[in-house]
Amino acid sequence: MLILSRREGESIMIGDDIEVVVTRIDHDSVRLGVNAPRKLAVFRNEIYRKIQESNMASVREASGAGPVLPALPALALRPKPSVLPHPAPHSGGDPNGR
Amino acid sequence: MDAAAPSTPQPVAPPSPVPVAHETAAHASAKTRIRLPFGLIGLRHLTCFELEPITESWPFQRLRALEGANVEMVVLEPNTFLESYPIRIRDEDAEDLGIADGESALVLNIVAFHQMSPLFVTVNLAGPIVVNRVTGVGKQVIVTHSERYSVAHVLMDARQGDSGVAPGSAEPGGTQGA
Repeated sequence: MLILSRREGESIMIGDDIEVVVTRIDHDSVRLGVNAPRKLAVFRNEIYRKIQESNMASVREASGAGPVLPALPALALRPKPSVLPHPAPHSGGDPNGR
Repeated sequence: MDAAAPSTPQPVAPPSPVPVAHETAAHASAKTRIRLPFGLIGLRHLTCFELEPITESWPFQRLRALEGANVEMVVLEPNTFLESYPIRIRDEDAEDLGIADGESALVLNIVAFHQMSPLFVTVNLAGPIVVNRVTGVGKQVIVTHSERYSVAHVLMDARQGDSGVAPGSAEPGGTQGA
């Protein structure tokens, strides 16, 4: 691992277009600013890992016609509509959504 | 991504509850194509999906990968199990998706079935999939105030004996969504 010493206000460059700035040092915590192309998402490591793990735990082999899911009418706050919602080209125009 | 709060750097966006869209009769099990150009976090290769309500297990919906991989995820729209779920996403994400307000967004929370018997099910509130209803293009985002929402919000937990169904407001605080 490359390790660099930086003071408050100093920064490092990663490649040509990613800048990481040490904006504040405060006892045991450091505030960092990241200037990066918008297509690069920057997250705290812990939350990123958690979501990654959660995704891995949620993905499963496609079950086809026979889902092993509980039917949970008690769960649905919104009553099951006779016509199920889906992201259609035009929204229904309900101002409050529900 | 909230038109009502355009001046704040991270506007409060209430993409949920989302409106029940469209009234095409006779499409009770309509499948919807969803494209996630950046894939899912940790599963970047999965970019094309079909979303289909699981009629016998409403409000669960199936998000099935289309490109060779024979995998799927089960998802929920937040307004089917939460009273309130005000989320904020990065302006860049909202702009990339072309989402200007909550109503143009379809929000899907990914469900994890940890255990079927006794049932233990959680749902990811911190990293929802946000889809532009018009284009069908979406992205799994991490909400900017992710500390407020759990990656594993308990939906059902029958391990302690009771029914364990835990609906209701996600977490306190924040403004009421839509």
